[in-house]
Amino acid sequence: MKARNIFTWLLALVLVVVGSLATTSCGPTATVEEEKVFKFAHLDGFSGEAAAWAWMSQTSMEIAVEDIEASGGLVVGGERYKIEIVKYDHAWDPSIAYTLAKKIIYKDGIKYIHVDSDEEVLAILDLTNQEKVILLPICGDLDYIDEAHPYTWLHYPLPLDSMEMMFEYCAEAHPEYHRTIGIYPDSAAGYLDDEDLTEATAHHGWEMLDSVFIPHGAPDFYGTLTPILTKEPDVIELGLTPPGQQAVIIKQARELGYDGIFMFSDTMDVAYLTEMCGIEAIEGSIASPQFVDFPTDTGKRWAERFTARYGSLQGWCAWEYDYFMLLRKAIEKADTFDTEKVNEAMDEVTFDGVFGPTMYKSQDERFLVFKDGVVEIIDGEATDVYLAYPPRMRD
Amino acid sequence: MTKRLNLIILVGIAGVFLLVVPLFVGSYWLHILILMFLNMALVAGYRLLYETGLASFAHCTFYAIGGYTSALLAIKLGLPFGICFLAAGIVPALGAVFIGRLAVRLEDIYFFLVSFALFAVVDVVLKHWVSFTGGFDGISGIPPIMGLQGEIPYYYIIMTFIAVTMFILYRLDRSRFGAELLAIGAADNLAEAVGINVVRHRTLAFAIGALFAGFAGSLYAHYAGYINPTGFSFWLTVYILIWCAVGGYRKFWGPVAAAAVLTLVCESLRVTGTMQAVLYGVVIVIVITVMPHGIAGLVDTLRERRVKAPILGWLGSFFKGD
Amino acid sequence: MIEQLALNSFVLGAIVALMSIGLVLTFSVLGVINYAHGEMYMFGAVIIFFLCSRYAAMDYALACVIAVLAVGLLGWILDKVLIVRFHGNLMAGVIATIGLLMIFQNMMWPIFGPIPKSVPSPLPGVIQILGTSLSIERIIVVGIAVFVILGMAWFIKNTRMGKAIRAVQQDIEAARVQGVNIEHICAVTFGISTGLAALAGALIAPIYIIEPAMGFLALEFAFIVIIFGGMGSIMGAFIASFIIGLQYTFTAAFWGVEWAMAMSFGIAMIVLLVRPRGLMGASGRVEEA
Repeated sequence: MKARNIFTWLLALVLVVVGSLATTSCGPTATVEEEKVFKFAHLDGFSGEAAAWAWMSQTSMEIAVEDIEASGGLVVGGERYKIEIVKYDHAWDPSIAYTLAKKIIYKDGIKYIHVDSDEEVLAILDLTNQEKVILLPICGDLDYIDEAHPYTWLHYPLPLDSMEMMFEYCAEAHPEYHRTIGIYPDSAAGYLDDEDLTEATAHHGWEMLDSVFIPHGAPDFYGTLTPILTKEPDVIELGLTPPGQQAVIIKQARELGYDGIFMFSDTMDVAYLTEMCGIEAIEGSIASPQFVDFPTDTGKRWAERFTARYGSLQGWCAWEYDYFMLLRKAIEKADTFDTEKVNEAMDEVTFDGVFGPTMYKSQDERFLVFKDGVVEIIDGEATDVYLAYPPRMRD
Repeated sequence: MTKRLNLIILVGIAGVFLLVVPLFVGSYWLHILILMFLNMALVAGYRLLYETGLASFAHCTFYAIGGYTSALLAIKLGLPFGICFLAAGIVPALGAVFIGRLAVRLEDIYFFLVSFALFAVVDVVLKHWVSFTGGFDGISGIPPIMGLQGEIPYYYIIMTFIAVTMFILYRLDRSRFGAELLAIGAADNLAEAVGINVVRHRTLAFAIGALFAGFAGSLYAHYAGYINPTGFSFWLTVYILIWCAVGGYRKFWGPVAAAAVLTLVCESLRVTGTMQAVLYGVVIVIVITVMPHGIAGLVDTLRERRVKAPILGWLGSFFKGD
Repeated sequence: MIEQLALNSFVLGAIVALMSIGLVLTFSVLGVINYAHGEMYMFGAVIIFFLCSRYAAMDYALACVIAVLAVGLLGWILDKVLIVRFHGNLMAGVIATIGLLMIFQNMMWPIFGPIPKSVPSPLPGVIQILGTSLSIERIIVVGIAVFVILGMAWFIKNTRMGKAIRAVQQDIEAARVQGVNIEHICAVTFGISTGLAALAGALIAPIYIIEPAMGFLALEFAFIVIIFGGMGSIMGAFIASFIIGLQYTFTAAFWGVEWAMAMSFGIAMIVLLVRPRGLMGASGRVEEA
């Protein structure tokens, strides 16, 4: 091997390394105080099957930012800070989420992260904990918010919460429903849904006939639906199945003769499903968390603005608005961006949120306490039918 | 021996540069460099089989198996890192021998598809054998190497690993075995006729590649502390394939340099968001169009056409011979 | 239930056959594995979306024809401009088409959007026969699939162009000596192949949902078909598609759909290790590396 051969390659390598480092600037960027901008990282799947959810969250957070600016802005140490939400796309790959988390923390110097969902949370949890980064995840497992992870705060209901709410409602209004089958995505979130459904059905005396898991990208469900429909469920629970697949499952189940209802323990995008399968196909469907008319003025205004920006109402991201407002209060109470101090203030602030007063509770776990809603499609209209604190938060 | 001296000096300079990089670069870039090193090890191992004419789609599967083996041994049996690391190499290597003995007899396109099938099958097993592999939750809480935290120690550990790996594989390439592998790639019937046991050589190449992929997987697992099946995706093997083909497999340093350069390019392009993947695709198409036989091919083409431009001649002279 | 499953298998087999036949052609005639095959399928579906639901309410059949012609033309151009450099060079072809895959798929995220969409079914309605449900849509798709594939087989066997294609596949030097314009034939074949993929996408658009990543599924199925049925044989691919439809549907029903694809690959892998040329394989045109 000639020396000059290696020379060329090493030189090229060195040049590229130096060039890359130089052009994209190495090391952490300017600290928050110098530039008077508060940066917040939104780490989510902006591409891929469930990308719609990321954009919905983003819309909700942007509304919160507007409201904060309109009500005096974020004021710390006597100075007013502009809020910037920086988007990071992990494309639902946890190893990319890990790399991005390092970029967020070490290069961009951001110490407040919103992340979705379970697999990605697992990938970055140790890192954020170690670096005292305040993490606001959407996830389905209470393990991530326990004492070992003091900087993590959950603002979103667990699938179990939603299922219990729906079953409680059915106990009064639809006692004829008690047989269910779960169709869930083949992912960490899907298996959590399955565990939660098992628990919820046991609690409420329902029968869980089966559960099936759909891989990412699978388009055809005739094979899956045929055997489960022979078990004659009253309710098919769709959990965290992405919206596109929900639509196909509903359509194909109806083609195969299913005449029960669907339940959604996470998102039910009524406008989207109506467009894709027709409102008759989802007549009688029950969903939680979901809202049509918010009980408070804050909520109504949020709903109006969200619909205007996004095009349709997605009630489930109302919490992103509430938690952002709470975060602002916590930061202002601590009067610093130092995450240790802000962390202590997180459960000391309250906000009159979209469902009424809301605050974080932290004993063994740190989660937001709020009322959850159930919606049913009655005569072609989504209707609020039930509003209460989920069982986990009733104390 | 001036060339030898030059060689030593140049390697020395590069080495010193890499050694002091942590002094002026932040944790994020150290992380990227760590990933770059691991990619270099992956592609150097991959090249062994590739140069014999067989392209496998299963390389990142071995990377994943290595990572899982190491993580599971550390967590479930509490074994020390050294043993986990060794096992992480040996398990995929054995797997490669087992499947390889049969698979390498196939024509190249069928081998490619079999390896793709292997990738798909292992992928599903990792995702669904929940009691063993944790399924989609993956394995978290993987103990760090000797209790070390932070990018800097891992940077040095992985850099050392790469240096050793490069050294071993480079010597292998320069040995008779390496020459025989290239010969198989050029004309396998002829090689067989001359007495080279093609099947055995290919299986061995496959296994050695798997060995180092497994080692790399172990290092990644203990560095990141968390692994999960989605992280070892189809795209990683695609990238390894691209680096190998684009770098030009005939020279040892080709794929390795391509891996290094393209890892950094990919990361730098990340700021462009969605366009990142599109741009990467464009880069790939352009590169492979200009050099359909890798960089070695380009040079031969240049020489064939007797390109006289001085700068090209100067570049070409680097690739003469060997 | 078994009747319904058998029926589902048959329908899936037809869909898979449509998805795969183009790839078989490309490989056997051009010696290139077109990794962007799934993207051509996706383009077919996306064109239907833009023509039939969002911007115009065009007649579905007409839209299908447009989709096929447009994507076929795209394929022809791609071959002339790019792929021709890689005929017979397996690895370079793979890499170039992977590059195309990355470009085509990722450029659709901003253009099409991240939210999956659908088109209304041109023939809604479900009929019930013997205790099974079958949507009219699917019956039509099966019919078209069978017609197209048998048509392709006839075309290859009986027409002049078809014979030229076969000649190139079997012995390229001999074909050249006979005066066949190789580059022209290859470009046409590639165009036919992408057009077929687009037809599959267009027919499937009302049945499944449309999104930029939908091509992966078509690609996976096509690969499995090639392994089962061998590279060079259209009839082989056709039969293999139905076997796979059967295997996939029953695995999904009894073990779960997450195992279905893995099972397909696992069987494919074993088939290859045991019978290195696929179940009925001829091999395709690939140069000695």
